[in-house]
Amino acid sequence: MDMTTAPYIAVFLLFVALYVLAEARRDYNKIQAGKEIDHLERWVVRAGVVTLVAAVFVLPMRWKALLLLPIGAFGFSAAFRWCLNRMRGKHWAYIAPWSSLYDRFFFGLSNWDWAWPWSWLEYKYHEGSVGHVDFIHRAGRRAYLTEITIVVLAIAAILLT
Amino acid sequence: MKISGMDTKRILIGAGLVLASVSSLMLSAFTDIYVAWKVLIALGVIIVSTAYLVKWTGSPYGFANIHPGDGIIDLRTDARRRGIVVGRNFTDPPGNAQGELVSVTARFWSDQMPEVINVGEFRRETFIEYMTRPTGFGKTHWALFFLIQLVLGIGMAYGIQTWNEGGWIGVTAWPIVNGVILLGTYMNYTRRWI
Repeated sequence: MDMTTAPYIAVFLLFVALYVLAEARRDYNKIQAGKEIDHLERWVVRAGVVTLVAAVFVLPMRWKALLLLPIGAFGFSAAFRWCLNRMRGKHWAYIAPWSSLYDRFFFGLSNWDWAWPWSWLEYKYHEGSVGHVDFIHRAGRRAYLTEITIVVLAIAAILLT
Repeated sequence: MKISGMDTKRILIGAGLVLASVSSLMLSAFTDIYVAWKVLIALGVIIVSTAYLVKWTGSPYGFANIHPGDGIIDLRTDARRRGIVVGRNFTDPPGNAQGELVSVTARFWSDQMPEVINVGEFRRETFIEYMTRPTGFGKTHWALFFLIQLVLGIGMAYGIQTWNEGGWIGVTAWPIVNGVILLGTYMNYTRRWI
């Protein structure tokens, strides 16, 4: 195991954590104010910032800095969702298929024809319908599992190779 | 206006492009990095030239990314090769509203462009046709697509050169990133995530 890169990973993860807090607070304030969130614009900005920071680590880590990208992307996504759900007082596995294509992806393994349209799903979820709540939380757990698996694999690849 | 079958010319060009890419990259593995850069520049020229070939070797018929249940009566094409829905009987979801612009692959020379493609004269485009639209790789503009491929190709070639110093990461990234691009394109084609 090559532990020389471990401090770089720690610094990078610390940065991602702080950035997640700032961005989650930003989105939370917007949601509270009833303002529209431009998901594509935020995605581009966040991806750009994380990529630039990861690029700094190319000097000490060489190729391994490339593996910081999946760590940053999927780690950010999982932590951001968890933070925002906490701030909004929602269930930790809450995920919305109507918010972005990325989130909708995790509904793909379930048959969601019955849940259409999304406005109806949203209404039934907030009403507390067991089937609809379970449907959304299952997709949320799937998203966390996918993201955490990718982060762990990428960290293992850096440390073990 | 009849509906075309498989476009063999386009398939051959695609296969040639893949072969040229793979062989160039394999060649670069056995030469020094400066030769590899030259190979990649040549590869870029090949790709851009092929883009122009693909653009003008498509079948001279109109294709529309129409799905069952869209309820489209017919499409009116504009100068930018977009289709404008005309007609009624629109179902939901997804359904196209009257007057809405939809993506159309209309492979015509501009002076032969018909004003209206009537019902029965267009069909849903195949996935291959969707990926070889004159406008881009699916919804991705050709210029952006080739830029992405050039960056990935350079990364892969440099990865081969430095395999033992972690270059395997760059080589592994190539199929993974392209796989994700292809998956996303397919999901856009089917309009279903997933």
